[in-house]
Amino acid sequence: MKITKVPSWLIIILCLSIGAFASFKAKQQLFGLEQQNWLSTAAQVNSDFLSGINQRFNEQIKPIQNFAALAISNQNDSNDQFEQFAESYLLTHPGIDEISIGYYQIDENRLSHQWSFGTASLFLDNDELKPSLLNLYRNAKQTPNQLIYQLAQTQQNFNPNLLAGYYFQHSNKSYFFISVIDLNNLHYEITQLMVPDHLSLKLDFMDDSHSQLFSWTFNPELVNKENKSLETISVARWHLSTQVAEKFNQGINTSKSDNIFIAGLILSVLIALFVSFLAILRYLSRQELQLSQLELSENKDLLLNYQENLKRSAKFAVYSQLAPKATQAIPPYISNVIKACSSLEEKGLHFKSLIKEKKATKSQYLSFLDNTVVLARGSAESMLKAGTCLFNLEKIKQELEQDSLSQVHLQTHLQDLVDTYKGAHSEVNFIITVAPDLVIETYPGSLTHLLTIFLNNSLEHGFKDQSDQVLMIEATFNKTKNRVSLRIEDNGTGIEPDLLEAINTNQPHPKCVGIGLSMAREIVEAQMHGELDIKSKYERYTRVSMQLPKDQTAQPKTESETEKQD
Amino acid sequence: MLKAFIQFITLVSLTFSYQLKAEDNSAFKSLVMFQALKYVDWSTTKKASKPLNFCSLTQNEHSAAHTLALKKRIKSGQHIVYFNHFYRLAELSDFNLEFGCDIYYFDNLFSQLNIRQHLATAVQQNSLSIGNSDTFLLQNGTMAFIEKSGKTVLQINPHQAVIQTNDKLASFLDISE
Repeated sequence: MKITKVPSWLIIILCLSIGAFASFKAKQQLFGLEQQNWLSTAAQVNSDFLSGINQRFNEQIKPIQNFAALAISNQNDSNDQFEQFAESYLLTHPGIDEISIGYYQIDENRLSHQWSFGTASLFLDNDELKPSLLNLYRNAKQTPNQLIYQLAQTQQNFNPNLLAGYYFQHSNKSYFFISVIDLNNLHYEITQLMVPDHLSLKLDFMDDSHSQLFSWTFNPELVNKENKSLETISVARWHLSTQVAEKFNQGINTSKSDNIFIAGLILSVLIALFVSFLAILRYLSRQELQLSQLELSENKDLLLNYQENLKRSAKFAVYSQLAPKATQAIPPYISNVIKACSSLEEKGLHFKSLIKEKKATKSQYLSFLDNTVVLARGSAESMLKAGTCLFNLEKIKQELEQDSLSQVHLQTHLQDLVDTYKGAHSEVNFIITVAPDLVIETYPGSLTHLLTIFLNNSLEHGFKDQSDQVLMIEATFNKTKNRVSLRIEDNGTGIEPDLLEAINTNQPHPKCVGIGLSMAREIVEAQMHGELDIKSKYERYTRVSMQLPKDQTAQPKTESETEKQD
Repeated sequence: MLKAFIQFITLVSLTFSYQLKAEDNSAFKSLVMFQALKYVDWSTTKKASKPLNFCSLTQNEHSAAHTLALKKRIKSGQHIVYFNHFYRLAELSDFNLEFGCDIYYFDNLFSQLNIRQHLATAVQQNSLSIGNSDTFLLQNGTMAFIEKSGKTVLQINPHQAVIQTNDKLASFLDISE
């Protein structure tokens, strides 16, 4: 299917549809990237948040480890020195908010309190907290040199805090340190200072057995099934699951994808408009083309009429060309007859006077009779030749007019035609070489027309002032091909190469010459089903070769012939 | 005379009733104070490395100040904070005269008493005062815990310039008038 056959409205709808679809797809792709960037930003914020939490938590548990090292290495230090250490540690470490340390030694498998500071002191006086302390001790003892965590309700009407325990053995002595991490404070600080906006967070703290010890949620009101969830991340004991709310970071920046979508739509509309413009142009062109085709068709018909008229005129022009040539030979014959008659009359009158004067002799009688016979015979021959000329002319005229398919004796036909020319072109040596029994079934009028064109060309244009003008006509029969080869050749000036090329390629020549030869080609090929070949060497010769079927009825008929026969 | 008697009876009955129970939201208030005090900038008002005295005037030991004092030492800016608890105004005044108080805390009851003169002294000492109720702020206290929409917030007194608020401190305060 050619594109020119597709309706314009379909192309426009296709342009718009494809443009809209492509724009939508591009928007989707870009939106995916924008969403990915948005989620990457959220993931980074999430990661930073968890790192901050972990750092903050590590700062809370660091004092117990530092104090344990101090206490073990300086066992003789007094409680005042420990307090100085605690206050100094609090002052010199910006990340430390409070010091909560309980220091115990293990004496006969019992906890012996050495020193406490801050909220760790609560375990001294509060009997309700002691089970928690002992439980932590037991667990810490099982995993020495490692921090152990458990929850403890250190304050009434408040969430439990985290109790960290650290069991250590050194020089056959065992030590146990505790610290209370104020989870309420930590949670409040995180809530007020660290929680990113528009992220719903669930923060879990795992114990050594990877069980959840406690869990915090931040911005729980943002939890929504439609929110995007980030991959759960872990740092140390902290696990963080996050949902990203739509408003995070002012939402997904869809400006680029929106712009691409709008630009795509505008582009497709522009393309559709351009196609519409082309469609209008095509419509106008079609109308112009239809008008032109109509005009062309009319002109073609007119041209065919002109061509037919031209052919007809050309055919009858042959007669008008041949007639003067034929009639040109008649006057000398008539003149000869008149001369003979005048001479006979003169001699008759002279012989009559001799008879009256009775001076006529027998020899004069005989001489007069011989002369009379000779003159009468000569007059009769001249009259016969003149009559032949007229007969030939009449025959040619009839053939041209009727031009019906008939058996043509080629030698006679050629000879008659050449005889017509001979009177007017006595300087030309006509050589006819045709088998005497060669008969061809053809259109005699068209054949005469053809031969006239070639002979006229040779006689009128082929020879200049040369003395040895030879025009040779030769016809042979090829039995294998059942074709008659007819050749007309002169030794004249030949045809100019560019003109010859124009004739052979059937192209118009700038000088508007060669029309006759072009017409001859058409007669040979279209009507007589033959082939024509014209060869010439400039200023040397011109040779026209025709291959004609011997039997025209064996050839397929053309439309014009069919119409003619009908 | 009758009016003065009624006021006395009311004060005594209020005092008696408050003594029976713990301060409301003491744990939460201690949290807020702990965080807020961390971010107070004392650089222009107090000598560097000097410990600060936290003086609380409460009706009993179940106050936010006592809860906060369980930590024994806390930080306020670059200073370490010592806790001192008082249950009578005179005791507080004496301590202030002798050692000086840098941070005051008045519980619900004492915040509603006429402590204007003490708060004026606190302002003169560039000391920070924390109380409860609007009355406390009206008496030129620095900040007070106030109930707003069912939530307890620590509201700063916009008409007093003892402390300069910064971003982190502002996170724990209600700075609306």
